[in-house]
Formats: sequence, structure tokens, C-alpha cells
Amino acid sequence: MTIEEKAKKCGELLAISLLDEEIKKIILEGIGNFTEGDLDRLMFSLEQEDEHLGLTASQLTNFDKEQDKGWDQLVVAQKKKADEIVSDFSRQIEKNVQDKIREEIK
Amino acid sequence: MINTLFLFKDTRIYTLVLFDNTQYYLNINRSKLCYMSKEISAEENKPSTIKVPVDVDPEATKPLIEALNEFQKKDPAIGKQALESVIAAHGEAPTEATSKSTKISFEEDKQIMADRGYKYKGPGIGFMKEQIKKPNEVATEIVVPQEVQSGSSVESTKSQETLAQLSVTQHNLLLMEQSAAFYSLHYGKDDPIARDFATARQELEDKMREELFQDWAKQSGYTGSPKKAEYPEADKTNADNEEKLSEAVSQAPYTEEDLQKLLEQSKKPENVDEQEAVRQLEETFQPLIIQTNESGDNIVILNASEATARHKEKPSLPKEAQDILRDAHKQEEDSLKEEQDSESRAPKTPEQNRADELRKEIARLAEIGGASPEAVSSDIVRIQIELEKLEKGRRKKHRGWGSIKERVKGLATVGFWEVHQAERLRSSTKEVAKDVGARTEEIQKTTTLNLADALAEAEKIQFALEAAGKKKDKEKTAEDIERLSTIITKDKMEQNNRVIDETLKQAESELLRRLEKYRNEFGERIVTNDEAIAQAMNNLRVELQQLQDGQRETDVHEIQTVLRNIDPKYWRRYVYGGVEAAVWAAGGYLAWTKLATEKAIATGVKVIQPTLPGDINMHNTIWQSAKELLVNHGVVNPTDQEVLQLSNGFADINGIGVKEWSMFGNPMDTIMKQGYLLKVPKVILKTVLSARGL
Repeated sequence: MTIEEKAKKCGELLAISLLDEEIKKIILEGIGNFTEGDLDRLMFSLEQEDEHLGLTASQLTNFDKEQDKGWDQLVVAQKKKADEIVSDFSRQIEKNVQDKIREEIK
Repeated sequence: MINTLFLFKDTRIYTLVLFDNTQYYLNINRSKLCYMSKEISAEENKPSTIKVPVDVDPEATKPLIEALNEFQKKDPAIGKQALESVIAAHGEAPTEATSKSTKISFEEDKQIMADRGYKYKGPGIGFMKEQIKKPNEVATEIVVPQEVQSGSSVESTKSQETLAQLSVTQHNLLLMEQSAAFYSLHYGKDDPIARDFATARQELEDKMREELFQDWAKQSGYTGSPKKAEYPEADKTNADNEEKLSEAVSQAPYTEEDLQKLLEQSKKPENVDEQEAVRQLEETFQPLIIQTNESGDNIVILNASEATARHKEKPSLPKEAQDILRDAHKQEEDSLKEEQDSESRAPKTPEQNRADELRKEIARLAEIGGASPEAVSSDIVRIQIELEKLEKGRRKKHRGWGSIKERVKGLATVGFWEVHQAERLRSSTKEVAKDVGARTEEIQKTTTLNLADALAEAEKIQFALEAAGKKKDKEKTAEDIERLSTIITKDKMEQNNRVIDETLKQAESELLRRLEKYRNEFGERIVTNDEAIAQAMNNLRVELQQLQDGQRETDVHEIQTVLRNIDPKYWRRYVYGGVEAAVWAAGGYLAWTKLATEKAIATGVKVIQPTLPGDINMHNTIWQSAKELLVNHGVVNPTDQEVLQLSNGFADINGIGVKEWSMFGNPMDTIMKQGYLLKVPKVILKTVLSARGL
């Protein structure tokens, strides 16, 4: 990548960067003191920022989805648990009845 | 190419970025350097593989040295220095003049060395000489016996060469362990970098053991299996030299003491300049330029003025390139503004119109719901799902920056709280919520906003913890975690609590129905009474809440992973390091630090300002929770009357039944679970606080 290409990319990335406007201003006003190494460092950081944001965004989206999914599944599990307890309760009543009947028969 | 080389404040770990997708982690410990590299996956942009495990193997150092050579072509001055520093750290190969020796015994060899002031420290260390500590000098010196000095046999000398190499290896093991300990402490033992350092350390240790064994086997004629147990000297060395390499501290997870112990182990005396440079660095975060000294065997940390002076010696960016950068920035900025303007001016699409209708419908339903929003909640949720789909579709048209990216805007320089505030203003859903009142607002929150709230809260917790001097995960109390959990799952819990209530109602109804059926069929044989049903319902409630707790735990675990990624410190170090250096070069470093500090303080202040909490978790009883809440808000020795007043408020607002106070409600206070989420009766709390003049 030539120095001109790097400068162009840096300028574009800086515009869309989430950096504070004050920071951007300092960079743009002080660019006369830059070496090519400074340009490389800046470009690397701005690229990293973009990539890291992408990663964070995907993780947040994933968290949203997983959280929704998890709580939906929780409702299903809770309903199932309620059914189980109702069934257990019914079975206990039936067992008590059967025991009573057996006693009566005796 | 080399992008940057930084020394981080509390770790003294350098990051040398050589290629676009490769980062080299260096640990110099002020004098000695070892490194690892990680290839950053272009797709995921996260560390994936270790490319160079450690610096003792010439083959392993090859990629780094090649990279440095490559860089040297572009920037000969820095390239040469960087290359020298790596070679110096890597350690020169032992001298070859070992074959002219005269055979003497090892005991004679030791005696000769003892006469010279050197003491044999055992396999893996070699001979060491204690020296008077002077500035600019290291405390100990490792000597590889030369044939003219020792007169040992070829085998013996070779063995000593191996031992000298192993000494270097042991030092590197220590550095690797320090790095593993640091990352483990700060980012958890499962952190990929911590794991990689630990793995690389283990691999190096295995390799060292293998070399030790081969050397020993050659000397002793041993032909058995190279197992650790069969090479007692290696173990003995470790046992005898705990200060060199501690087995105990290699056990994960690390503690702060382990790390300090590890750091102390390799600490060397520093000269005044080094101390000053490190002090400056630690105080200011200022990026310092790291270079080798004239003899090529040490690291020089330049102070700010020296670094500035050297920076000025380098050619500035050509004027043309400067103009290109400014133009590209202006063009992109204009383009973004234009896009935003056109969006606001453009006539609404059918989807946008539909979204507006849906928002109005939500507001209408919320008004109808009034005091009992549950009655319309299902309709609102259904409409919200449709609304969310429409909004998602629209967001896709945005260039590059999705709505979620906006949520993390300003993480490093501003903090999440401000972002959250901006998001609150921006969100149209939230605007609707504001219109229809606080109770329906809860229902109308989308999951996205819930998460934004959660993250903002997490950020506040983080700052609060740091303000209190707590910096590590392990120091976060169970209460902190519970608070985080509550925030993240607040709305989900509220929804699920409604599900629980409904489920209990249905289950109870079903039980009563079945009971009635049995009674019709079996008459007096049915002895089950209402109390048994109530007990079954209580059991069911406990079970359902336990299931809910499990989901909350899952959420906390997941969000902690995400939070680690938005750790502002991480961003500052690993993402914005280059920007920091660029700002420094631009002459605005003071402005940068001032800005960052101000914003951090501003955020911190917001955190520690006392605010009335929305919810708290019950601690033992309502009474105790009320009392603690008052104490936390500055009420010294709250009276029984004050606690009672607030406790009544808690019971009332949360619909809790308290037999002693003849208050009816569900649940009864006697069966409430520890940690039960309680809404805080803010009005009563304010009243009590006001009466106290707080």
C-alpha cells in the first residue's frame, strides 16, 4: 500500500470512527507532525476499531438472540414442570383412593 | 510492518504489531524480553493460533526476524534496533570453541570456578557469581565455562552449554508464567491469551525437561524412558531453586500474590534513568519508544523529551499525503452527513408509515391498559415484534454501522453511559414509552433496549468498583454479580414472573378441577384439602423460580463474556493504542489525557452519585432489607418507626402478604426466597430521607 493509499484510508476510517470529535480534530490539525510510522499506527488502530466493533456487535446480537431463546425455553420448561406437579398430585390422590378402597375391602 | 510498540502500565508487557493480522506479545520485565505472537483471524479478528511459542528456538524466531528484516527495508533505523532487541533477547548461541579442552573432573571444574568466585547452582542454572549491585549492572552473572577456564571434557563442556541455555529457558519460563498470571488475573483463567501463555510455558517446560534428560542420559549412559520421574536432578533443581521457578505458582488460577511473587523473581536493579522512565510511564500512560542500548543487550526506555527529539529526526508525512488524508476525511464526513440528512428529509416509506401506526397502536393499548397493563400486554408484545422487524429491515440499509454498533459508540473515549443516554433519546420505541407512562414503559422495552440498559448498568458497576479500588473479577462480590444479574434480566424476569403467576393459576385451577372430579367419583374417600393444594402450589412456585434462577445465571455468564470485550481499558490498550501514539505525535497528547481523564471522572461521578434504586434484592427479610437500604442512604441508626414505615411500603408496593400487619398478598413474607426482587417504595424512602434532612 502506498503512502497516499494509506492516507486516504486513514481519512475515511477517521471520519466514521467512534473517536471523540475533539480527538479527531487534534489528529487532523497535527497531521503535519506525522511520520509514516504514525500514519501506520493510526490506520492500524482505526482498522482494529472497526473490526472490534463488528465483533462486539455480533456478540451483542448473539446475546440478544440467545437470551430470547433461553427465556422462551424457560417458559416451556416451567409449563412442563407445572404439568408434572399436577400429574404427581393427581397420582397421589389416586393412590390414596386406592389405599382407602383396599382398606375398605379388608 | 511494525505498527507500534507499547509498554503497558501495570504489566510491562509490550505489544509489537508487525503485520496487519499478527500481534506479538512481548514481556520485557524492564530488561529481558520474550515474546509470543498471535495471528489475528481476518474474519473474527480475535487471537486464534500461536505462531511463535517462545524465543529459545531459532526456528521459532524465524518469522519474527524475517518480519523485522522486511521492516528494516522500509525503516532501517527502527528496524535495525528492533531486530537487535529481539536477537539480544533471544540470546546468542554458545561459543563454538569447546573442542580444545583438557579433560578434568567436574569436581575440579567446580573448584576452579569457586576460586574465581562462582558457585555451581545445579543443572539448568550453571555457575553464578554474586556481584556487588551497582546501577546499570545486573545482580548475577551466568557464566558458561570455557575450556581455558575450566578445562573440562568435551562432554562436560557441552553439558554446561546446555545448562547455560537452560538457564535462559528458565528465565523465559518465568516470563511466560508472569504473562499467563497477568492475563489470567485480569481477564480470567479462560482468557485465550492467558491460556496460550500457559500452554506455551508448559510446552517450553516440557522441551526443557527433554533437553535436560537427553543431556543427563548422555552423561550417565541411561537408556530408559525419558519420564520426569526418572530424571530426579531436574526435579531437584526446581526444588532447590524455588526463587528461579516456582511450581506452586504454576497452578491456575493465579492470585495477585502469585503474580507479585513472579514479578519479584526476575526483578533486577534499575538505574536512575530507567526508574524515572518507568515512573513517567506509569503515571501518564504516555507511549514510550523502546529501543536497544548501544551494546544491544538491554532495553532503553526513552522519556518524553527524548522520544520527541528522535521523532523530529524522522521525515514528516509528505504534504500531498496530508492533503489526501484531510480530503478523504472531509469527503467521508460529508457523505455521512448527507446520508443522514436525506434519511430525515426523505418521504416515509410504507414500512415507516406502518411502523408509525404500530407505535400509535402501542400507545393506545397502553392507555386502555391503564392500571392493569397485563390485560393488553400480549397485544403490545405482538405489535412490538412486528415493529422490531420493520425497524430491523430499515437498519440494514445503513452503511457499515448498524444500530448495535451505535450502542457501543464511544466506549474507549467516552464510556458506555453517554452512549446509552444517546440511545435513549434516539430510540423511537422509547419515545412511545415516555408518552404512555412508567408502568407501560416496562412492557414496551425491546430486548435491545433492555440490553443497552444492562450494559450501561454494568459499566457503572465497573466504574464503581474501580472507584472503590476493586479491579479484579474475583473481588467483585456476590452482591455485585446479583445486581448485574438483576439488571440484565430485569424485564425478562418481570415477564417470566407473569408467566409464573399465570402458570400457577392454571395449575391450581387444574388441580381443583381434578379434585372435584375425584370427589364426584369417589366421594368421601378423597381426603385432600385446600391446604395440600396450597402446599403443592408453593412447591411449584419454588420449582419455577429455581428454573428462572438457572436462566438468570446463564445470562450473567454470557453477558460477562460480552462485557469483557467492551472493557474500556482493553480498548484503550489494544485498539486505540495507535491513535494514542498518533495524537502524541500530533502534539495533542496532553489534550488526549486530559480529555480521557475528564470523561472517566465524569462517568465515575455519575456512578457514585447517590440515586434512589428501582429494585433491590431482599436480604433475609423485608424488615432487614428496609433497614439496610436506609443505612445505605445515610440514615444512621434508623429507628424502628422508620424501618416499619419503609417495610410497610415494600409490602404494599410489592403486594406481599404480612400476617403480623394484617396485610394480604402473594407471596406471604414468610415464604419469600432470599434475593426476592423488591420494588423500592421510592416515595416513602424519599419521605424518610427528607425527614432526616438527607
